[in-house]
Amino acid sequence: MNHRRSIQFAPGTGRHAARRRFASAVAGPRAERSPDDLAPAEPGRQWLAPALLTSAAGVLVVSAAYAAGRDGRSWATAAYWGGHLLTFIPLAAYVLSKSTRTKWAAVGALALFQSLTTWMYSPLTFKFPDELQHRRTALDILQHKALFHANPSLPVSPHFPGLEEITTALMSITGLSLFTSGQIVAGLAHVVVVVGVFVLLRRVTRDEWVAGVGALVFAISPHNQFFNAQWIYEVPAFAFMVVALVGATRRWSVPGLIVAFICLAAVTVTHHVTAVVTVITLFALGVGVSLQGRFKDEGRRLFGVGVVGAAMVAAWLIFRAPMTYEYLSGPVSSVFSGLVLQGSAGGKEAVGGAGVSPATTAATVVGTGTMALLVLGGAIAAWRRSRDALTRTLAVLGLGFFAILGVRVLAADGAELAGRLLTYGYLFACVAAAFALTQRWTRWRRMTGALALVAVVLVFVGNTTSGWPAPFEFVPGKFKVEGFESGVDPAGVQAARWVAANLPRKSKIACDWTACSLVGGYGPQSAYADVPGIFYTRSFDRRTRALLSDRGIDFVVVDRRITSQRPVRPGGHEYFDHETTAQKRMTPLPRWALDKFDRDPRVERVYDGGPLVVYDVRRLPGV
Amino acid sequence: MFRRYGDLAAAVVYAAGATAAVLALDLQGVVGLLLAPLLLVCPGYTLVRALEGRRRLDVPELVTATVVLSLATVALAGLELNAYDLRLTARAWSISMLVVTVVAAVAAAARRAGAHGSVRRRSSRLRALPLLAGVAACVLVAAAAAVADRSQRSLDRRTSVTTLGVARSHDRARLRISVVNAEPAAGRYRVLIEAGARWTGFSLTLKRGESWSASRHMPASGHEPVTVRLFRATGSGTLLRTVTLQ
Repeated sequence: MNHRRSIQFAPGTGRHAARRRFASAVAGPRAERSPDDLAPAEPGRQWLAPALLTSAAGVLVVSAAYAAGRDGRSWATAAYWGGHLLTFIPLAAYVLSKSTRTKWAAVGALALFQSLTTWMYSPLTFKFPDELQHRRTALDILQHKALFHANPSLPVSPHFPGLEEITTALMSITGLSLFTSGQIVAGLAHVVVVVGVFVLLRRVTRDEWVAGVGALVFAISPHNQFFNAQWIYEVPAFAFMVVALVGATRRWSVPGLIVAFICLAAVTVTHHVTAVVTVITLFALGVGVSLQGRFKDEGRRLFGVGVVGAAMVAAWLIFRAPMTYEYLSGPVSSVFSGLVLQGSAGGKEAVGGAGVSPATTAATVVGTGTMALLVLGGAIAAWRRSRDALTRTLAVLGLGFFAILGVRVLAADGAELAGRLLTYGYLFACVAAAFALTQRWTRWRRMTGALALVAVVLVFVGNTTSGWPAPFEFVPGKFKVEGFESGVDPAGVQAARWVAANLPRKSKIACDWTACSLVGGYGPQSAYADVPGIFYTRSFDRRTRALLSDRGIDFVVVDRRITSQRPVRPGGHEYFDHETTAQKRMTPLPRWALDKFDRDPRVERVYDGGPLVVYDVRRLPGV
Repeated sequence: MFRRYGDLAAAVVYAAGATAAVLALDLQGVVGLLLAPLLLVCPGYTLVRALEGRRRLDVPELVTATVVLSLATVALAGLELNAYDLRLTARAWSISMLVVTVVAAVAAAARRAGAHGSVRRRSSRLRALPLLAGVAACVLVAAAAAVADRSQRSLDRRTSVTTLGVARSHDRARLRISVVNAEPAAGRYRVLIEAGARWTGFSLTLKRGESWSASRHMPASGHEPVTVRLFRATGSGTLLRTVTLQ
């Protein structure tokens, strides 16, 4: 016993020495001089277990709320909010406290719980349209045992096969289903993204508290809570991006560079936008630190990694995925035209556009406003508190949050574009916000701590209402026409399975938006949601037949529920893409418009699945 | 020796065992999940150990780098296999991951052999309260998962519908009929095929969720309009679905 004590207090060993070594390793020699910045006091340590337990109870409440929603209970949404807040608040309070340790575990647990609640929303099948599109690519890889087969529902997807490669490899080795493997890959990537952001911010700011709070804010960004926990290619790509940045910001170490290059290569073959954003970020950081006189030390390295990344991305886009330009030109021009024309582009949505009630709109506005204040105040605080060029650059880049808000207000389809951009924007905005949230005035230490928790909860609530799932489907349950997840039900899935198994592979199929997502996800056929003219006419007149002929349509999938329900998505898509204003006014779709399929003797009715019917229109003259 | 290289040896032994299991056995389900670290942990862990500098990574760094480098390895290895026209099978995946693991482990061992001083390990003590809380949290999450799974299955059972689909063969002499019973209970059905004045029919019983499909000869020449109807064979014989081919 005495021997142990003597070792503990001997110079160079023991707890204090270990802290010094840890601080030195993480933050360099400067931190070694003040280890207390990195090694918080002991008292908060025991709170992690109760915080985790309470959050897990919140997950159970959310699951019960989902079950209630499926049973049609009116209190399901209220229970959802209760569970949602119960999951978040204990972990947020833990991370916001300066005295607590292992903050990475708390933010990692929060990400894990987000993944679990996302899975619990749809525990048996993929339902989100993007997931269904990737399903097609994965099925092609499984069938052909090779990459790069055409995917009509998302043509760009086979050329960025990282997600599907990982998932199908896991399927092949473990024998698990595609859905289970996909959930494992998405969940794992989602958790390491948040822990990776913690590691990145700790490396940059040299402050575990700021890093923990930054990772917490990042974890609650609008799309990260649910959308980025789904099986979509952004999720592993973002993990690659974060670790590439970690490698690039490590000072002059060859292993760090190798890690950065491996991750740059992986992100290049996994997701186009993330790859481009990674390269832009490296250059922006390089410019930022160079302007502050750190070119030789940090700027050169960031530029070097950025140049290599740019070469990889350019080579891939030019030689393997040239259609990416066409795929992205629509959203990019929408952003620019929206900003240049100051919102006069069609289909613009104001802040809170995703809200369907005044309460959700108010929550969105308050949450977004709170975050804006945190970013603004935090950027100033970061500039004052930190002398580090990289930290200051990240905090200043966080002001890009306001540009994304501009996209949301001014661009066509701004809500969706801004939501997706915010995933990247929050990587910088969270640094600034973390500096604001860790600001404590000595005299009002407790009060500022409480205010920080209130601010984070407001941002969390606002980001939930403006993120995913849409407010009209916070809890799963009743079928909703043209909903996202709520628009997918067993009848639709059965129809898609039948189409996949029985119709010719190269068939072209016209359908409404949700049916097309399912048909494109389950079968090799090409599904088109942009031919509303077929559905809105009284009969198969010459114009309708010419339209069928022009588009080469062989079959039509009709969901008869579109004659009884309006599309549930506000402001976004209607039943079909490219509907005219006159067509949009006809909601719900008149019954006579669909009766023509049964009236016309030249149209074959080949599948009857209750609300969903499949018609063969190839015998119509001229088709 | 084992203290210095034990983790690398464990990774290589596991990867070799898992590869052997993939090649020799056909593991499915939860047992198959035991092989997942071959993809999701082994290559990344050994790569991290091969690349790490003088400072050993702490837990969050190690977790992040291990998982992300594993995922990156799989994504890049798939491209490599595809480039050499090697089929992306379980065999190819497992062997390529084993190769990466072994090569990286050898590199890591070589770097450690060249490093001065012994590898320090931090001892960690498990405390009773956090352990109990962790177990309780896992129980709560498992309960939540069970609730979600059960309620979704229940909803799917309630909202599923019975379907009838018919496809005609190229020579128009045969019909491929498929019926899915998605109702909550087993059902007995009757299928009637009418072509002009002729008709034929048959009955079938399907368990809950069961699907049935078969080819049937056309009752007429094959060039007449055909109507296929699906009835419930019990009670009043309700007409459920209708399909018409011209």
